[in-house]
Amino acid sequence: MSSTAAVAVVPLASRRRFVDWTLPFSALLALLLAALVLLPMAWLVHTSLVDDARQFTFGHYRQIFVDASFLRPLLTTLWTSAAVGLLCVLVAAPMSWLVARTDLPGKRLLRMLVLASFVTPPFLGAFAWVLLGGPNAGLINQAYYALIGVKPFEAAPLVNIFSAGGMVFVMALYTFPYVFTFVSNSLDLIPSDLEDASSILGAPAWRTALDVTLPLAAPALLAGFIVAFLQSMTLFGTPAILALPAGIDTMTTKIWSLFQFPPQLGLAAAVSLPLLLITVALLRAQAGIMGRRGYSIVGGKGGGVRVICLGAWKVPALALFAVVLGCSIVLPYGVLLRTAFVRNWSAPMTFANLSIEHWRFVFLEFSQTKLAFQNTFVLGIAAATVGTLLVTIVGYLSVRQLVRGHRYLAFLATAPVAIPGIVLAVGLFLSYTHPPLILYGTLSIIFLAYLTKELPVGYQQIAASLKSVHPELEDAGRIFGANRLRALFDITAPLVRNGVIATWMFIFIGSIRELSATILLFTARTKTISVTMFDLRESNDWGPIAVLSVSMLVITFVMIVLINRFTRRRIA
Amino acid sequence: MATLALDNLTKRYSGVVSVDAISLDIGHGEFVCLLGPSGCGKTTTLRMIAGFLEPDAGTISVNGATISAPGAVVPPERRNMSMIFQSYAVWPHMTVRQNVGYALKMKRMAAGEMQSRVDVLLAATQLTAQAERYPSELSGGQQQRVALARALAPKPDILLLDEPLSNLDANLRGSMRFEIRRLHDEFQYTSIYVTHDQVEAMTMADRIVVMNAGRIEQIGTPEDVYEHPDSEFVARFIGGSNILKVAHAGGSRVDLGANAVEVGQGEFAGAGKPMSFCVKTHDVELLTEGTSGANTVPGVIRSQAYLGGHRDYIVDIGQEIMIAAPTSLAMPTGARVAVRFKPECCRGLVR
Amino acid sequence: MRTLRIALLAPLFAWVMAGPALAQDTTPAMVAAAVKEGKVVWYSSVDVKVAETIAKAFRAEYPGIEIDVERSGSERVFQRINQEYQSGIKNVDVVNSSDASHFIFWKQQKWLAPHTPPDVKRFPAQFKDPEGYYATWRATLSVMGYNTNLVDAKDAPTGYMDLLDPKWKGKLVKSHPGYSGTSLTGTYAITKLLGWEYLEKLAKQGVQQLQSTTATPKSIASGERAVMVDGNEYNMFIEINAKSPVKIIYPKEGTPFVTSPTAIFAEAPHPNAARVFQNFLYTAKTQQLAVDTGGTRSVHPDVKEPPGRTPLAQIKMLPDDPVAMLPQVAEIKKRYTAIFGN
Repeated sequence: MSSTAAVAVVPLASRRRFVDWTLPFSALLALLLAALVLLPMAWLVHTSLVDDARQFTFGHYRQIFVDASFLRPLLTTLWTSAAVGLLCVLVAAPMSWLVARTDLPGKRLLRMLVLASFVTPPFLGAFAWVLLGGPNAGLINQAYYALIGVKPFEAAPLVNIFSAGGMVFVMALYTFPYVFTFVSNSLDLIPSDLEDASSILGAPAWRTALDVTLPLAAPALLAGFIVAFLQSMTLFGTPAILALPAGIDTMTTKIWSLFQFPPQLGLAAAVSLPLLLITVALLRAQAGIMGRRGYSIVGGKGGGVRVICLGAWKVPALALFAVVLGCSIVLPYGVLLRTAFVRNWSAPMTFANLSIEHWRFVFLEFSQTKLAFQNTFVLGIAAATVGTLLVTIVGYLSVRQLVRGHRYLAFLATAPVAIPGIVLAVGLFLSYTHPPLILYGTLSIIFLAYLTKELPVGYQQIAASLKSVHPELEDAGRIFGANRLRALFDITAPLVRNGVIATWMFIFIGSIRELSATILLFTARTKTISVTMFDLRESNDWGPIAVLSVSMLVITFVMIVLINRFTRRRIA
Repeated sequence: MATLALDNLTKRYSGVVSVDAISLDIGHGEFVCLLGPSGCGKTTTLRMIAGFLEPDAGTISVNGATISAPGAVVPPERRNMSMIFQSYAVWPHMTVRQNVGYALKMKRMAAGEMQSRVDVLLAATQLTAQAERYPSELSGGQQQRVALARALAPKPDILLLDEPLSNLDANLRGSMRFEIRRLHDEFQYTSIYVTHDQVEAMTMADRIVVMNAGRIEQIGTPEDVYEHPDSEFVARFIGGSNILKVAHAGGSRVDLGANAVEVGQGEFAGAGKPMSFCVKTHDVELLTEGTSGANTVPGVIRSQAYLGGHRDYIVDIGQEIMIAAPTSLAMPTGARVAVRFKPECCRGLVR
Repeated sequence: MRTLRIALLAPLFAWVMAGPALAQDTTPAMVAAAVKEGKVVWYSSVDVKVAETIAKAFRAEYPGIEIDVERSGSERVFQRINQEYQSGIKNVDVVNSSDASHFIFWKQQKWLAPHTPPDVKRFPAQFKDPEGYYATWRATLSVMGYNTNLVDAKDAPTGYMDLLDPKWKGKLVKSHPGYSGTSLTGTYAITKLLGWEYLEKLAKQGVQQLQSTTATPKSIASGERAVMVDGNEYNMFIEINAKSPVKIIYPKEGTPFVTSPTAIFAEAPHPNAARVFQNFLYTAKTQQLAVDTGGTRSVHPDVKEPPGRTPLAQIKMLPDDPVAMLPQVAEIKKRYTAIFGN
């Protein structure tokens, strides 16, 4: 009845042919990741240090730190990014406290709208705000002039979006959700009993919030500030759309203008490196802040969250949300929709002005639409598919600690988080415009940019998903007769399936909205939707821009609904 | 059924030795417990036996055939072993029936045969009613029984159990202990059971292997290990003992502070050298102050606790010791007393 | 007669191109070869909607040939092509730019293919290259303009110097020569006429800087700015046709006249389609279409100006001089950027 052990246990001698491929495979993977991440950075450093005659020089650096036309953008970038960070903290801190701790009505909807701000491509927001906040024709200013009964130019505009302030404002609108998320997560971890302790001693709710909650959430606020700062510093679309018309350059627009033919590659590389170094330094600082002892106390187990009754304070609290979300979602989405469906965007919305001519133009006449959509989708699908495959393998190897040095794999996969998109593009351009591999002018170089840029997001996503699957589940598969591959397919794959699908979609969404790297790498044959919109802006063709914006938002939100369906329907 | 032999088995993690050259022979149908605190190397040993880890030195063989050696490991799926995991590792995306039948499916068993085999095991583990449920719909005890049924389905030669009861509550743990032992006796496979709970080890095992810092401290039957610990560590880990620091006076006598004590068994360090002896808490007599005689030393009661069947006293005799005394004997805290060690119950320890 | 001329010229072209000469006229064989190539890629600086109108007409006439329009400012078109050629990318078939000096440069680089569309033979000599590498496909004027809702006709400026009046502070919009060929050609003409000091003074007026001369008319049409320093005359015609509240000003100092040639690249990936398209661009019918719907000026002798447009003869024009401008282009862009920013 029982199969004998002699049969079941295969003697070792016959087992030698089963070679373990994990190690050579991982080495290959590490090499691939290193090529992806380190090669562009190496070229960046090299190019910044040689002159046209290929001789070593510090000339490029000397020039960018002496020449006012480089120093001014650097200073502009630093102060505007700091301003965005500060503004985000000031707005997002009370918002996240209200959502986490009070009986504010409609929290679910508010959280969803914050998420919507999060996924709105920032350059779409900037386009929308040109239409809203242009000093004279902008709809807000038009309404303002009508209200005070003057013609444009007879009074100062209510808002002038073409200014450093305007740029800071619009950047903050799409950056504050980062801070909101950081602070919300940390508030969820601060047990209410710490606050109750203060309340028992007789402090009113606002005092408790200021004296107890605020200091406990301070690390999250600081970390949020840093993320907001970095986000703003590396943005290209918003400054190009809002600051350039006012004659203001930032680091990213400067790099872009250095890329105009004939490209000044040495200078572009030299300008890119400070951006890279600032990012690396701030991310390290942030990791330090989040990892400090004070913060880990917050992780302690606590009782449930005690909800604070707002009473009449509900009104100003809701007003805060109305203003912020109105400016980031309601007004911009509204104006893009309106512009897409009227002949003349600055004219009143009369019946005669209603028109679908922009839709007809974009989808029937504009010969770039088809190519741009095709390129965007090919790139999005390719980056998402290859990226998901790559991070799934790396995630599996490193989360399961299957190979020695798995930490380096994880490090390489997450390192691009410290490389601003436009800096990555400079590096890729330098790496692939000469033999042995000329990729410039093909979709491949943009694909590499998207792949590299999205690796960290994908890795985080898949690692979280893999960590939620206990390794013993797979071990059980092995011991009950499945080989490594079979156990992977029978056990781990179905359990992380939803996580993998969500990862794919995250990378896809990130790719189809990419502008700051694409802007340096595209050619006529390899245009995407985002650079097509950017080209249309040069000739103020707002109608077609609005049509493309609305299309892009629809695609994004369809993907998000799908992500939600896939991540919610987890097997319990 | 199978015999299992570990020979000089060693495993290091980034230079730190986790399992240090252990050797062990396990007979057909034997139930062996690897007992020790966390980090002692017992789970690493078990995972090497299962084939998940490759030894850095030494071998593992089953029925005389080597299945693990450095650089040559038969993969887990080809060892005809089963395992019950600490986390149960019941697959959440499969029904109870699919879980239990998985190993049979891997063996390409015919559908009908598989069905009847699974039914037998479901009946044996009282899961027949839950056959089509998913694990998330089961209680912790039921999930544990699924893990058990799944492990027994392929008729393993060797069953490995990795702290299978540590996630259950105390009541359930008691009944599952007997269940696991009953099934072992019924199916007669060789069992290796890893635990840090000496009660589990004592109640289930034929033999206990006490491990510490990657080494085997002692191998023996539960009685052996309990009555005759070979080291301070084993005495302490098995519990119920006092361990007293003494100096060897010569022969079978030791110096406990100013008093000489006769130690009836065990090992001795050599005259003048420090050593210790252990004595069970119920093998120490609590006497009124001033009682004198052989092996009797004076002390002061520091605290006491009433435990129904007996009283626990903490007594300071220069070192604090615990004494389990009959409930009839009631003495107040602070009282001066005398304490007598039965020589035949004192066991000298050098390690 | 025509066949004879081609027969005589063919060996010459063969010598110039060091390759087989392609026919000049659109023949059924050429169309068949073009259909086989499938499409033509046209880089152009003309307003995107004008470009797509032309493309639509081309598709209607040659259903088998697809057309890709790559629209950008002249200077961007120039940069893109140069960047692509430097990287070995041969994508462009036919190019149109409002900076005529580009064609001199490309011709010097030997990147262009000589080709004279049948209609071009009747063009005045100053609007075509003597060796047949390019010819003026369209012309426009870099005009001033204003929004009639925001500025009364009696207050409107009449010339460049008027714009220095403090009352226009914060109301002006201008295109950028680093981007637009029309703007570059205009900047060259204006600085030659009024000197760089003029632009330095103008910069103090709080000028909003856009990129394209196709964008500035749209800006004043929307009411974002009141007065346009420079912009395409043809975009102004388009706005006026669409009943936008704008009016053209031909500055009394003179209006820069900007010719905008097209040419075929020697290494065009679709050489036959390129020739079919190039011939199509210069026909009286296409020229008339561009003039009527696109508002451009034409130098084709058969084209009729639509009523209501000021005839060129009545406008004091500042003619372009690409040959003289070419060596100064980099300097103009640099100086301009130093004054107005990027």
